[in-house]
Amino acid sequence: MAGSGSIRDTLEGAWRPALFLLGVLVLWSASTALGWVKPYLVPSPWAVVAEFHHDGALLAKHTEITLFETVVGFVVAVAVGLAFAVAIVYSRTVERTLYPLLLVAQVIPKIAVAPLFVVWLGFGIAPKILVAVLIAFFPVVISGVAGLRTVDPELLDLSATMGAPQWKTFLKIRFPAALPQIFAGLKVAVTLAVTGAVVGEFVGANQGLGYLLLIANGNLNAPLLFAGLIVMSLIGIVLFLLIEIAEKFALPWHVSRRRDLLA
Amino acid sequence: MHRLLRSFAALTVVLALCGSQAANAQSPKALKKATLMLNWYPYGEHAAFYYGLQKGFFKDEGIDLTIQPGGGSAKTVQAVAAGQIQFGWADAPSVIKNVSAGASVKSIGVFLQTTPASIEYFATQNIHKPSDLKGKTVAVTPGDALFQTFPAFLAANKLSPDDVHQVNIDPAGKLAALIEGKVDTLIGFFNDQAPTIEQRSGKKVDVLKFADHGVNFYGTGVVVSDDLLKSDAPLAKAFMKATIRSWEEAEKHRADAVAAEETLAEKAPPKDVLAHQFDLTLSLLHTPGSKGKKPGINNAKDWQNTIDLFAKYSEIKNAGPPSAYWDGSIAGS
Repeated sequence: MAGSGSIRDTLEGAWRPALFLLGVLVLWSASTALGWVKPYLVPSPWAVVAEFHHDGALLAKHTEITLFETVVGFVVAVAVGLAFAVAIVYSRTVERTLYPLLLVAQVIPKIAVAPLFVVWLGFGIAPKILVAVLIAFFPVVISGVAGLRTVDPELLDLSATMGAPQWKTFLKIRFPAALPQIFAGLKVAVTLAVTGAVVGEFVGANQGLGYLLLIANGNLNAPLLFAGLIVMSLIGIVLFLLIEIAEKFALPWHVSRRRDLLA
Repeated sequence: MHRLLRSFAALTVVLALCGSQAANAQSPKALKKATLMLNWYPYGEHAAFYYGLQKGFFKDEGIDLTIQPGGGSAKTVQAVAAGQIQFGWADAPSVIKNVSAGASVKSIGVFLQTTPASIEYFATQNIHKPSDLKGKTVAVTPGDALFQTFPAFLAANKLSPDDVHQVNIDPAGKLAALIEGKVDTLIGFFNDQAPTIEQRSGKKVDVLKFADHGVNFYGTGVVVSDDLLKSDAPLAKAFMKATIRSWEEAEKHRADAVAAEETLAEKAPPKDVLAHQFDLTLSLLHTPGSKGKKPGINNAKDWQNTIDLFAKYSEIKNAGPPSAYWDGSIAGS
Protein backbone atom coordinates (compact mmCIF):
# COMPACT_ATOMS: atom_id res chain seq x y z
CA MET A 1 0.00 0.00 0.00
CA ALA A 2 1.28 3.49 -0.77
CA GLY A 3 2.60 5.50 2.19
CA SER A 4 2.63 9.29 2.44
CA GLY A 5 1.77 9.48 -1.22
CA SER A 6 -1.80 8.52 -0.43
CA ILE A 7 -2.24 11.52 1.88
CA ARG A 8 -1.14 13.85 -0.89
CA ASP A 9 -3.42 11.99 -3.27
CA THR A 10 -6.33 12.40 -0.86
CA LEU A 11 -5.72 16.13 -0.60
CA GLU A 12 -5.32 16.47 -4.34
CA GLY A 13 -8.54 14.57 -4.86
CA ALA A 14 -10.36 16.56 -2.19
CA TRP A 15 -10.27 19.96 -3.82
CA ARG A 16 -12.88 19.09 -6.42
CA PRO A 17 -15.65 18.05 -4.04
CA ALA A 18 -14.64 20.92 -1.73
CA LEU A 19 -15.04 23.38 -4.57
CA PHE A 20 -18.39 21.83 -5.48
CA LEU A 21 -19.61 22.13 -1.89
CA LEU A 22 -18.47 25.75 -1.83
CA GLY A 23 -20.41 26.38 -5.01
CA VAL A 24 -23.52 24.80 -3.50
CA LEU A 25 -23.13 26.94 -0.40
CA VAL A 26 -22.82 30.12 -2.48
CA LEU A 27 -25.89 29.22 -4.54
CA TRP A 28 -27.84 28.35 -1.41
CA SER A 29 -26.93 31.64 0.32
CA ALA A 30 -27.76 33.61 -2.80
CA SER A 31 -31.14 32.01 -3.33
CA THR A 32 -32.28 32.68 0.21
CA ALA A 33 -30.76 36.18 0.36
CA LEU A 34 -32.34 37.15 -2.96
CA GLY A 35 -35.69 35.69 -2.00
CA TRP A 36 -35.83 33.04 -4.74
CA VAL A 37 -37.22 30.61 -2.17
CA LYS A 38 -39.45 31.31 0.83
CA PRO A 39 -37.56 31.21 4.16
CA TYR A 40 -40.10 28.91 5.74
CA LEU A 41 -39.42 26.34 3.02
CA VAL A 42 -35.65 26.72 2.63
CA PRO A 43 -33.71 28.48 5.39
CA SER A 44 -30.51 30.38 4.76
CA PRO A 45 -27.30 28.45 5.55
CA TRP A 46 -26.56 30.85 8.40
CA ALA A 47 -29.94 30.16 9.99
CA VAL A 48 -29.08 26.46 9.90
CA VAL A 49 -25.68 27.11 11.49
CA ALA A 50 -27.41 29.17 14.20
CA GLU A 51 -29.81 26.28 14.70
CA PHE A 52 -26.94 23.84 15.29
CA HIS A 53 -25.55 26.25 17.83
CA HIS A 54 -28.90 26.81 19.50
CA ASP A 55 -30.24 23.25 19.54
CA GLY A 56 -26.98 21.31 19.47
CA ALA A 57 -27.71 19.27 22.55
CA LEU A 58 -31.23 18.44 21.36
CA LEU A 59 -29.92 17.30 17.97
CA ALA A 60 -27.19 15.23 19.61
CA LYS A 61 -29.63 13.48 21.90
CA HIS A 62 -31.96 12.49 19.08
CA THR A 63 -29.13 11.61 16.73
CA GLU A 64 -27.79 9.10 19.24
CA ILE A 65 -31.10 7.23 19.18
CA THR A 66 -31.41 7.16 15.41
CA LEU A 67 -27.77 6.11 15.13
CA PHE A 68 -28.38 3.20 17.48
CA GLU A 69 -31.45 2.08 15.50
CA THR A 70 -29.52 2.41 12.24
CA VAL A 71 -26.50 0.42 13.37
CA VAL A 72 -28.50 -2.36 14.98
CA GLY A 73 -30.82 -2.47 11.97
CA PHE A 74 -27.85 -2.63 9.63
CA VAL A 75 -26.11 -5.42 11.55
CA VAL A 76 -29.29 -7.49 11.64
CA ALA A 77 -29.92 -6.77 7.95
CA VAL A 78 -26.42 -8.00 7.06
CA ALA A 79 -26.79 -11.14 9.14
CA VAL A 80 -30.23 -11.92 7.74
CA GLY A 81 -29.27 -10.93 4.21
CA LEU A 82 -26.14 -13.05 4.09
CA ALA A 83 -27.99 -15.99 5.62
CA PHE A 84 -30.58 -15.73 2.87
CA ALA A 85 -27.87 -15.38 0.23
CA VAL A 86 -26.06 -18.51 1.39
CA ALA A 87 -29.34 -20.46 1.54
CA ILE A 88 -30.26 -19.32 -1.96
CA VAL A 89 -26.90 -20.24 -3.44
CA TYR A 90 -26.73 -23.66 -1.82
CA SER A 91 -30.30 -24.79 -2.45
CA ARG A 92 -32.34 -24.52 -5.63
CA THR A 93 -35.57 -25.11 -3.69
CA VAL A 94 -34.85 -22.28 -1.32
CA GLU A 95 -33.97 -20.06 -4.25
CA ARG A 96 -37.25 -20.75 -6.02
CA THR A 97 -39.41 -20.22 -2.95
CA LEU A 98 -37.55 -17.35 -1.35
CA TYR A 99 -36.65 -15.07 -4.27
CA PRO A 100 -40.23 -14.03 -5.16
CA LEU A 101 -40.98 -13.41 -1.46
CA LEU A 102 -37.91 -11.25 -1.14
CA LEU A 103 -38.93 -9.24 -4.16
CA VAL A 104 -42.39 -8.64 -2.72
CA ALA A 105 -40.88 -7.57 0.58
CA GLN A 106 -38.62 -5.14 -1.25
CA VAL A 107 -41.29 -3.62 -3.45
CA ILE A 108 -43.86 -2.94 -0.73
CA PRO A 109 -43.36 0.66 0.45
CA LYS A 110 -42.20 0.39 4.04
CA ILE A 111 -43.97 3.57 5.06
CA ALA A 112 -47.24 1.77 4.37
CA VAL A 113 -46.43 -1.20 6.61
CA ALA A 114 -44.58 0.67 9.33
CA PRO A 115 -47.85 1.63 11.14
CA LEU A 116 -48.70 -2.09 11.35
CA PHE A 117 -45.37 -2.76 13.02
CA VAL A 118 -46.09 -0.04 15.56
CA VAL A 119 -49.43 -1.60 16.41
CA TRP A 120 -47.89 -5.09 16.69
CA LEU A 121 -44.56 -4.33 18.30
CA GLY A 122 -45.45 -1.30 20.38
CA PHE A 123 -43.93 2.13 20.53
CA GLY A 124 -40.38 1.25 21.51
CA ILE A 125 -37.31 0.85 19.40
CA ALA A 126 -38.24 -2.52 17.87
CA PRO A 127 -40.48 -1.34 15.00
CA LYS A 128 -37.89 1.20 13.86
CA ILE A 129 -35.16 -1.44 13.77
CA LEU A 130 -37.50 -3.76 11.91
CA VAL A 131 -38.21 -1.14 9.24
CA ALA A 132 -34.47 -0.45 8.92
CA VAL A 133 -33.83 -4.19 8.49
CA LEU A 134 -36.56 -4.57 5.88
CA ILE A 135 -35.28 -1.69 3.80
CA ALA A 136 -31.61 -2.60 4.09
CA PHE A 137 -31.43 -6.36 3.72
CA PHE A 138 -32.36 -6.66 0.04
CA PRO A 139 -29.11 -5.20 -1.42
CA VAL A 140 -27.18 -7.49 0.93
CA VAL A 141 -29.04 -10.53 -0.39
CA ILE A 142 -28.64 -9.60 -4.03
CA SER A 143 -24.96 -8.72 -3.77
CA GLY A 144 -24.37 -11.77 -1.58
CA VAL A 145 -25.92 -14.11 -4.14
CA ALA A 146 -24.07 -12.45 -7.00
CA GLY A 147 -20.78 -12.58 -5.09
CA LEU A 148 -21.12 -16.17 -3.95
CA ARG A 149 -21.78 -17.22 -7.53
CA THR A 150 -18.78 -15.44 -9.07
CA VAL A 151 -16.21 -17.80 -7.67
CA ASP A 152 -13.97 -19.38 -10.28
CA PRO A 153 -15.37 -22.89 -10.86
CA GLU A 154 -11.86 -24.24 -11.27
CA LEU A 155 -11.09 -23.26 -7.69
CA LEU A 156 -14.19 -25.16 -6.57
CA ASP A 157 -13.01 -28.22 -8.52
CA LEU A 158 -9.57 -27.89 -6.93
CA SER A 159 -11.13 -27.75 -3.52
CA ALA A 160 -13.22 -30.84 -4.23
CA THR A 161 -10.27 -32.84 -5.54
CA MET A 162 -8.30 -31.96 -2.41
CA GLY A 163 -11.15 -33.38 -0.34
CA ALA A 164 -12.20 -30.19 1.44
CA PRO A 165 -15.60 -30.33 3.19
CA GLN A 166 -18.33 -27.88 2.06
CA TRP A 167 -17.93 -25.53 4.99
CA LYS A 168 -14.17 -25.24 4.42
CA THR A 169 -14.71 -24.54 0.73
CA PHE A 170 -17.19 -21.87 1.71
CA LEU A 171 -14.95 -20.27 4.30
CA LYS A 172 -11.67 -20.35 2.40
CA ILE A 173 -12.75 -19.96 -1.21
CA ARG A 174 -16.36 -18.95 -1.82
CA PHE A 175 -16.79 -16.34 0.85
CA PRO A 176 -13.53 -14.43 0.27
CA ALA A 177 -14.31 -14.45 -3.47
CA ALA A 178 -17.73 -12.99 -2.74
CA LEU A 179 -16.48 -10.20 -0.49
CA PRO A 180 -15.98 -7.50 -3.15
CA GLN A 181 -19.61 -7.85 -4.26
CA ILE A 182 -20.83 -8.11 -0.70
CA PHE A 183 -19.06 -4.91 0.29
CA ALA A 184 -20.77 -3.14 -2.59
CA GLY A 185 -24.11 -4.33 -1.23
CA LEU A 186 -23.14 -3.28 2.29
CA LYS A 187 -22.45 0.25 1.15
CA VAL A 188 -25.93 0.52 -0.36
CA ALA A 189 -27.51 -1.16 2.65
CA VAL A 190 -26.00 1.16 5.24
CA THR A 191 -27.44 4.26 3.60
CA LEU A 192 -30.82 2.57 3.34
CA ALA A 193 -30.68 1.60 7.01
CA VAL A 194 -30.56 5.29 7.95
CA THR A 195 -33.66 5.95 5.84
CA GLY A 196 -35.39 2.94 7.37
CA ALA A 197 -34.78 4.06 10.93
CA VAL A 198 -36.10 7.55 10.18
CA VAL A 199 -39.18 6.22 8.34
CA GLY A 200 -39.91 4.05 11.35
CA GLU A 201 -39.68 7.12 13.56
CA PHE A 202 -42.04 9.09 11.33
CA VAL A 203 -44.76 6.62 12.08
CA GLY A 204 -44.54 6.36 15.83
CA ALA A 205 -41.73 7.68 17.96
CA ASN A 206 -41.06 9.85 20.95
CA GLN A 207 -37.45 10.41 20.05
CA GLY A 208 -35.01 10.27 17.21
CA LEU A 209 -34.26 12.39 14.15
CA GLY A 210 -37.48 11.33 12.42
CA TYR A 211 -39.50 12.57 15.37
CA LEU A 212 -37.52 15.82 15.34
CA LEU A 213 -38.16 16.25 11.63
CA LEU A 214 -41.92 15.86 12.21
CA ILE A 215 -41.90 18.46 14.97
CA ALA A 216 -39.83 20.82 12.82
CA ASN A 217 -42.20 20.28 9.88
CA GLY A 218 -45.29 20.87 12.01
CA ASN A 219 -43.84 24.05 13.48
CA LEU A 220 -42.60 25.26 10.09
CA ASN A 221 -39.16 25.38 11.69
CA ALA A 222 -37.15 25.14 8.46
CA PRO A 223 -33.71 25.63 10.11
CA LEU A 224 -34.35 22.70 12.46
CA LEU A 225 -35.66 20.61 9.56
CA PHE A 226 -32.55 21.24 7.50
CA ALA A 227 -30.28 20.73 10.49
CA GLY A 228 -31.93 17.34 11.05
CA LEU A 229 -31.57 16.41 7.37
CA ILE A 230 -27.90 17.40 7.38
CA VAL A 231 -27.24 15.27 10.45
CA MET A 232 -29.06 12.36 8.81
CA SER A 233 -26.87 12.70 5.73
CA LEU A 234 -23.75 12.87 7.90
CA ILE A 235 -24.72 9.63 9.64
CA GLY A 236 -25.06 7.98 6.25
CA ILE A 237 -21.75 9.38 5.02
CA VAL A 238 -19.82 8.41 8.14
CA LEU A 239 -21.17 4.86 8.13
CA PHE A 240 -20.43 4.58 4.41
CA LEU A 241 -16.84 5.68 4.99
CA LEU A 242 -16.48 3.17 7.82
CA ILE A 243 -17.48 0.40 5.43
CA GLU A 244 -15.01 1.70 2.85
CA ILE A 245 -12.25 1.54 5.45
CA ALA A 246 -13.30 -1.97 6.48
CA GLU A 247 -13.23 -2.94 2.81
CA LYS A 248 -9.72 -1.56 2.43
CA PHE A 249 -8.51 -3.81 5.25
CA ALA A 250 -10.49 -6.84 4.14
CA LEU A 251 -9.62 -6.68 0.47
CA PRO A 252 -6.12 -5.28 0.07
CA TRP A 253 -5.50 -7.82 -2.71
CA HIS A 254 -8.50 -6.82 -4.84
CA VAL A 255 -8.03 -5.38 -8.32
CA SER A 256 -9.79 -2.14 -7.36
CA ARG A 257 -7.12 -1.53 -4.72
CA ARG A 258 -4.18 -2.05 -7.08
CA ARG A 259 -4.57 1.44 -8.49
CA ASP A 260 -3.45 2.87 -5.15
CA LEU A 261 -0.27 0.78 -5.27
CA LEU A 262 0.61 1.91 -8.77
CA ALA A 263 0.12 5.59 -7.96
CA MET B 1 -48.39 13.56 -55.26
CA HIS B 2 -51.40 15.47 -56.55
CA ARG B 3 -53.75 13.09 -54.75
CA LEU B 4 -51.81 13.55 -51.50
CA LEU B 5 -51.97 17.34 -51.79
CA ARG B 6 -55.68 17.31 -52.56
CA SER B 7 -56.57 15.08 -49.60
CA PHE B 8 -54.37 17.17 -47.33
CA ALA B 9 -56.17 20.35 -48.45
CA ALA B 10 -59.54 18.69 -47.89
CA LEU B 11 -58.51 17.59 -44.41
CA THR B 12 -57.42 21.13 -43.54
CA VAL B 13 -60.75 22.58 -44.64
CA VAL B 14 -62.69 20.00 -42.64
CA LEU B 15 -60.62 20.65 -39.52
CA ALA B 16 -61.07 24.40 -39.88
CA LEU B 17 -64.83 24.00 -40.11
CA CYS B 18 -64.88 21.74 -37.05
CA GLY B 19 -62.73 24.21 -35.18
CA SER B 20 -65.05 27.14 -35.79
CA GLN B 21 -68.08 25.07 -34.84
CA ALA B 22 -66.43 24.07 -31.58
CA ALA B 23 -65.58 27.71 -30.85
CA ASN B 24 -69.22 28.67 -31.40
CA ALA B 25 -70.38 25.91 -29.06
CA GLN B 26 -68.07 27.22 -26.29
CA SER B 27 -68.92 30.90 -26.49
CA PRO B 28 -72.22 31.08 -24.49
CA LYS B 29 -70.62 30.93 -21.00
CA ALA B 30 -67.01 30.10 -20.29
CA LEU B 31 -66.74 28.69 -16.78
CA LYS B 32 -63.60 29.42 -14.81
CA LYS B 33 -61.78 26.27 -13.80
CA ALA B 34 -60.88 26.08 -10.14
CA THR B 35 -59.67 23.42 -7.74
CA LEU B 36 -60.58 22.99 -4.11
CA MET B 37 -58.17 20.90 -2.05
CA LEU B 38 -59.71 19.42 1.09
CA ASN B 39 -57.94 19.13 4.40
CA TRP B 40 -57.88 15.33 4.31
CA TYR B 41 -59.46 12.47 2.40
CA PRO B 42 -63.19 13.04 1.89
CA TYR B 43 -65.25 12.41 5.00
CA GLY B 44 -68.61 13.64 6.32
CA GLU B 45 -67.41 17.20 6.93
CA HIS B 46 -67.18 17.74 3.17
CA ALA B 47 -70.70 16.70 2.20
CA ALA B 48 -71.78 20.30 1.60
CA PHE B 49 -69.15 20.78 -1.10
CA TYR B 50 -70.16 17.65 -2.96
CA TYR B 51 -73.82 18.68 -2.65
CA GLY B 52 -73.04 22.09 -4.09
CA LEU B 53 -71.06 20.49 -6.89
CA GLN B 54 -73.88 18.10 -7.74
CA LYS B 55 -76.62 20.76 -7.62
CA GLY B 56 -74.59 23.14 -9.77
CA PHE B 57 -74.24 25.92 -7.18
CA PHE B 58 -70.64 26.47 -8.26
CA LYS B 59 -71.57 26.43 -11.93
CA ASP B 60 -74.20 29.09 -11.18
CA GLU B 61 -71.38 31.32 -9.96
CA GLY B 62 -69.33 30.60 -13.08
CA ILE B 63 -66.96 28.11 -11.50
CA ASP B 64 -66.08 24.72 -12.94
CA LEU B 65 -64.96 23.15 -9.67
CA THR B 66 -62.78 20.09 -9.11
CA ILE B 67 -62.49 18.74 -5.56
CA GLN B 68 -59.20 17.11 -4.57
CA PRO B 69 -58.42 15.22 -1.39
CA GLY B 70 -55.68 16.65 0.80
CA GLY B 71 -53.09 15.30 3.19
CA GLY B 72 -53.49 17.51 6.24
CA SER B 73 -54.40 21.18 6.60
CA ALA B 74 -50.75 22.21 6.63
CA LYS B 75 -50.11 20.70 3.20
CA THR B 76 -53.29 22.26 1.82
CA VAL B 77 -52.32 25.73 3.04
CA GLN B 78 -48.87 25.31 1.52
CA ALA B 79 -50.35 24.19 -1.81
CA VAL B 80 -52.49 27.35 -1.82
CA ALA B 81 -49.47 29.48 -0.91
CA ALA B 82 -47.49 27.95 -3.75
CA GLY B 83 -50.26 28.78 -6.21
CA GLN B 84 -50.84 25.13 -7.09
CA ILE B 85 -54.56 25.33 -6.25
CA GLN B 86 -56.95 28.22 -5.93
CA PHE B 87 -58.97 27.22 -2.87
CA GLY B 88 -58.00 25.27 0.20
CA TRP B 89 -60.18 23.77 2.93
CA ALA B 90 -57.89 23.99 5.91
CA ASP B 91 -58.04 24.77 9.60
CA ALA B 92 -57.32 28.11 11.22
CA PRO B 93 -54.29 26.92 13.23
CA SER B 94 -52.55 25.93 9.98
CA VAL B 95 -53.37 29.31 8.46
CA ILE B 96 -51.98 31.10 11.50
CA LYS B 97 -48.83 28.94 11.52
CA ASN B 98 -48.12 29.46 7.85
CA VAL B 99 -48.91 33.17 7.76
CA SER B 100 -46.63 33.77 10.75
CA ALA B 101 -43.88 31.91 8.91
CA GLY B 102 -44.28 34.15 5.89
CA ALA B 103 -46.80 32.42 3.63
CA SER B 104 -49.00 34.81 1.67
CA VAL B 105 -52.40 33.29 2.31
CA LYS B 106 -55.60 34.40 3.98
CA SER B 107 -58.66 32.70 5.33
CA ILE B 108 -61.77 34.12 3.72
CA GLY B 109 -64.15 32.47 6.16
CA VAL B 110 -64.05 29.72 8.78
CA PHE B 111 -67.05 27.39 8.67
CA LEU B 112 -66.34 25.06 11.58
CA GLN B 113 -66.23 27.90 14.08
CA THR B 114 -66.22 25.59 17.05
CA THR B 115 -63.28 23.25 16.96
CA PRO B 116 -64.06 19.54 16.72
CA ALA B 117 -60.82 18.78 18.56
CA SER B 118 -61.49 16.20 21.26
CA ILE B 119 -60.16 13.30 23.23
CA GLU B 120 -61.84 10.17 21.85
CA TYR B 121 -62.08 6.77 23.55
CA PHE B 122 -64.28 3.73 23.92
CA ALA B 123 -67.14 4.33 26.38
CA THR B 124 -65.87 1.37 28.40
CA GLN B 125 -62.94 3.54 29.54
CA ASN B 126 -65.42 5.36 31.82
CA ILE B 127 -63.94 8.78 31.26
CA HIS B 128 -66.46 11.53 31.97
CA LYS B 129 -64.32 14.52 32.83
CA PRO B 130 -60.76 15.65 32.09
CA SER B 131 -59.43 14.55 35.48
CA ASP B 132 -60.39 10.96 34.57
CA LEU B 133 -57.56 11.11 32.01
CA LYS B 134 -54.95 10.81 34.74
CA GLY B 135 -52.75 7.82 34.06
CA LYS B 136 -54.23 7.06 30.65
CA THR B 137 -52.32 6.81 27.38
CA VAL B 138 -53.17 9.38 24.72
CA ALA B 139 -52.24 8.89 21.09
CA VAL B 140 -51.04 12.10 19.45
CA THR B 141 -49.41 12.95 16.14
CA PRO B 142 -46.33 15.12 16.60
CA GLY B 143 -46.40 18.42 14.74
CA ASP B 144 -50.11 18.71 13.98
CA ALA B 145 -52.51 21.33 15.35
CA LEU B 146 -54.02 18.94 17.93
CA PHE B 147 -50.54 18.19 19.25
CA GLN B 148 -50.01 21.92 19.72
CA THR B 149 -53.33 22.62 21.45
CA PHE B 150 -53.24 19.60 23.78
CA PRO B 151 -51.07 21.49 26.30
CA ALA B 152 -53.77 24.21 26.31
CA PHE B 153 -56.41 21.59 27.10
CA LEU B 154 -54.32 20.13 29.92
CA ALA B 155 -53.59 23.55 31.39
CA ALA B 156 -57.23 24.68 31.18
CA ASN B 157 -58.28 21.57 33.10
CA LYS B 158 -55.59 21.74 35.77
CA LEU B 159 -53.73 18.71 34.47
CA SER B 160 -49.98 18.53 34.03
CA PRO B 161 -48.31 16.90 31.00
CA ASP B 162 -47.05 14.17 33.34
CA ASP B 163 -50.60 13.17 34.29
CA VAL B 164 -51.11 11.50 30.94
CA HIS B 165 -48.83 9.23 28.95
CA GLN B 166 -48.48 10.63 25.41
CA VAL B 167 -47.70 8.21 22.62
CA ASN B 168 -46.77 9.46 19.16
CA ILE B 169 -48.42 7.78 16.18
CA ASP B 170 -49.16 8.92 12.64
CA PRO B 171 -52.79 9.98 12.00
CA ALA B 172 -53.93 6.73 10.36
CA GLY B 173 -52.15 4.58 12.91
CA LYS B 174 -53.98 6.33 15.77
CA LEU B 175 -57.29 4.70 14.88
CA ALA B 176 -55.78 1.23 14.58
CA ALA B 177 -53.99 1.68 17.89
CA LEU B 178 -57.20 2.67 19.67
CA ILE B 179 -59.25 -0.12 18.12
CA GLU B 180 -56.53 -2.67 18.97
CA GLY B 181 -56.48 -1.40 22.52
CA LYS B 182 -52.83 -0.29 22.36
CA VAL B 183 -53.80 3.17 23.60
CA ASP B 184 -56.61 4.26 25.91
CA THR B 185 -57.54 7.46 24.07
CA LEU B 186 -56.59 9.49 21.08
CA ILE B 187 -56.78 13.17 20.17
CA GLY B 188 -58.74 13.78 17.03
CA PHE B 189 -61.74 15.49 15.52
CA PHE B 190 -64.88 13.94 16.92
CA ASN B 191 -66.73 14.52 13.66
CA ASP B 192 -64.15 12.40 11.85
CA GLN B 193 -62.73 9.47 13.83
CA ALA B 194 -65.54 8.76 16.31
CA PRO B 195 -68.13 7.63 13.73
CA THR B 196 -65.48 5.66 11.84
CA ILE B 197 -64.27 3.86 14.96
CA GLU B 198 -67.81 3.08 16.05
CA GLN B 199 -68.63 1.58 12.71
CA ARG B 200 -65.38 -0.44 12.51
CA SER B 201 -65.46 -1.80 16.01
CA GLY B 202 -69.16 -1.86 16.80
CA LYS B 203 -68.42 -0.30 20.18
CA LYS B 204 -69.60 3.07 21.42
CA VAL B 205 -67.13 5.96 21.40
CA ASP B 206 -67.29 8.83 23.90
CA VAL B 207 -65.53 12.15 23.59
CA LEU B 208 -64.24 14.99 25.73
CA LYS B 209 -64.60 18.03 23.47
CA PHE B 210 -61.94 20.69 23.85
CA ALA B 211 -64.67 23.31 23.28
CA ASP B 212 -66.65 22.02 26.25
CA HIS B 213 -63.62 22.13 28.52
CA GLY B 214 -62.21 25.58 28.20
CA VAL B 215 -60.38 25.45 24.89
CA ASN B 216 -62.28 26.69 21.88
CA PHE B 217 -60.82 27.96 18.64
CA TYR B 218 -61.64 28.18 14.96
CA GLY B 219 -61.49 25.02 12.84
CA THR B 220 -61.69 24.49 9.08
CA GLY B 221 -62.55 27.11 6.51
CA VAL B 222 -61.70 28.40 3.07
CA VAL B 223 -58.16 29.57 2.38
CA VAL B 224 -56.89 31.49 -0.65
CA SER B 225 -53.59 33.06 -1.61
CA ASP B 226 -53.00 36.81 -1.38
CA ASP B 227 -52.22 36.69 -5.10
CA LEU B 228 -55.72 35.45 -5.89
CA LEU B 229 -57.28 38.18 -3.77
CA LYS B 230 -55.27 40.74 -5.70
CA SER B 231 -55.71 39.36 -9.18
CA ASP B 232 -59.20 37.87 -9.09
CA ALA B 233 -61.19 38.85 -6.01
CA PRO B 234 -64.48 38.30 -7.91
CA LEU B 235 -63.58 34.61 -8.27
CA ALA B 236 -62.99 34.36 -4.52
CA LYS B 237 -66.29 36.14 -3.85
CA ALA B 238 -68.14 33.84 -6.26
CA PHE B 239 -66.62 30.74 -4.64
CA MET B 240 -67.52 31.94 -1.16
CA LYS B 241 -71.09 32.71 -2.26
CA ALA B 242 -71.47 29.23 -3.73
CA THR B 243 -69.88 27.63 -0.67
CA ILE B 244 -72.15 29.45 1.78
CA ARG B 245 -75.16 28.47 -0.32
CA SER B 246 -73.94 24.84 -0.43
CA TRP B 247 -73.65 24.69 3.35
CA GLU B 248 -77.08 26.27 3.91
CA GLU B 249 -78.78 23.95 1.45
CA ALA B 250 -76.90 20.89 2.60
CA GLU B 251 -78.04 21.53 6.16
CA LYS B 252 -81.65 21.51 4.95
CA HIS B 253 -81.18 18.40 2.81
CA ARG B 254 -78.75 16.30 4.83
CA ALA B 255 -79.56 12.93 3.27
CA ASP B 256 -79.15 14.32 -0.23
CA ALA B 257 -75.86 15.94 0.68
CA VAL B 258 -74.53 12.68 2.06
CA ALA B 259 -75.72 10.86 -1.06
CA ALA B 260 -73.90 13.43 -3.21
CA GLU B 261 -70.64 12.81 -1.40
CA GLU B 262 -71.08 9.05 -1.59
CA THR B 263 -71.51 9.32 -5.37
CA LEU B 264 -68.97 11.97 -6.25
CA ALA B 265 -66.11 11.35 -3.83
CA GLU B 266 -63.73 8.50 -4.52
CA LYS B 267 -63.34 6.09 -1.65
CA ALA B 268 -65.51 8.00 0.81
CA PRO B 269 -66.50 6.26 4.05
CA PRO B 270 -69.73 4.23 4.06
CA LYS B 271 -72.99 6.18 3.87
CA ASP B 272 -74.04 5.77 7.50
CA VAL B 273 -70.60 6.95 8.71
CA LEU B 274 -70.81 9.93 6.33
CA ALA B 275 -74.26 10.82 7.62
CA HIS B 276 -73.15 10.62 11.24
CA GLN B 277 -70.03 12.69 10.51
CA PHE B 278 -72.01 15.37 8.67
CA ASP B 279 -74.59 15.64 11.46
CA LEU B 280 -71.82 16.15 14.01
CA THR B 281 -70.16 18.71 11.72
CA LEU B 282 -73.32 20.79 11.45
CA SER B 283 -73.26 21.34 15.21
CA LEU B 284 -69.97 23.24 14.86
CA LEU B 285 -70.92 26.06 12.51
CA HIS B 286 -71.39 28.87 15.00
CA THR B 287 -70.03 30.51 18.10
CA PRO B 288 -72.12 32.64 20.46
CA GLY B 289 -70.68 35.60 18.55
CA SER B 290 -71.93 34.46 15.14
CA LYS B 291 -75.36 33.10 16.06
CA GLY B 292 -77.95 33.90 13.43
CA LYS B 293 -75.36 34.71 10.78
CA LYS B 294 -74.83 32.67 7.64
CA PRO B 295 -72.19 29.93 7.82
CA GLY B 296 -68.70 31.16 7.01
CA ILE B 297 -69.25 34.67 8.37
CA ASN B 298 -66.59 35.36 11.00
CA ASN B 299 -65.92 38.20 13.39
CA ALA B 300 -62.71 39.78 14.65
CA LYS B 301 -63.31 38.78 18.27
CA ASP B 302 -63.47 35.07 17.50
CA TRP B 303 -60.37 35.36 15.35
CA GLN B 304 -58.49 37.18 18.08
CA ASN B 305 -59.42 34.40 20.52
CA THR B 306 -57.94 31.78 18.20
CA ILE B 307 -54.83 33.86 17.48
CA ASP B 308 -54.16 34.47 21.18
CA LEU B 309 -54.48 30.78 21.98
CA PHE B 310 -52.01 29.77 19.28
CA ALA B 311 -49.57 32.56 19.97
CA LYS B 312 -49.39 31.23 23.51
CA TYR B 313 -48.93 27.53 22.78
CA SER B 314 -47.03 27.51 19.49
CA GLU B 315 -43.78 29.28 18.78
CA ILE B 316 -45.37 32.33 17.21
CA LYS B 317 -43.79 35.71 17.86
CA ASN B 318 -45.61 38.94 16.92
CA ALA B 319 -48.94 37.32 16.23
CA GLY B 320 -50.55 40.38 14.69
CA PRO B 321 -54.22 41.31 14.35
CA PRO B 322 -56.96 39.21 12.72
CA SER B 323 -56.54 41.11 9.47
CA ALA B 324 -53.15 39.47 9.03
CA TYR B 325 -54.87 36.10 8.73
CA TRP B 326 -58.43 36.76 7.59
CA ASP B 327 -60.13 38.83 4.95
CA GLY B 328 -63.75 39.20 5.96
CA SER B 329 -64.76 41.30 2.99
CA ILE B 330 -64.94 38.37 0.59
CA ALA B 331 -67.74 36.58 2.38
CA GLY B 332 -69.63 39.76 3.05
CA SER B 333 -71.94 39.71 6.02
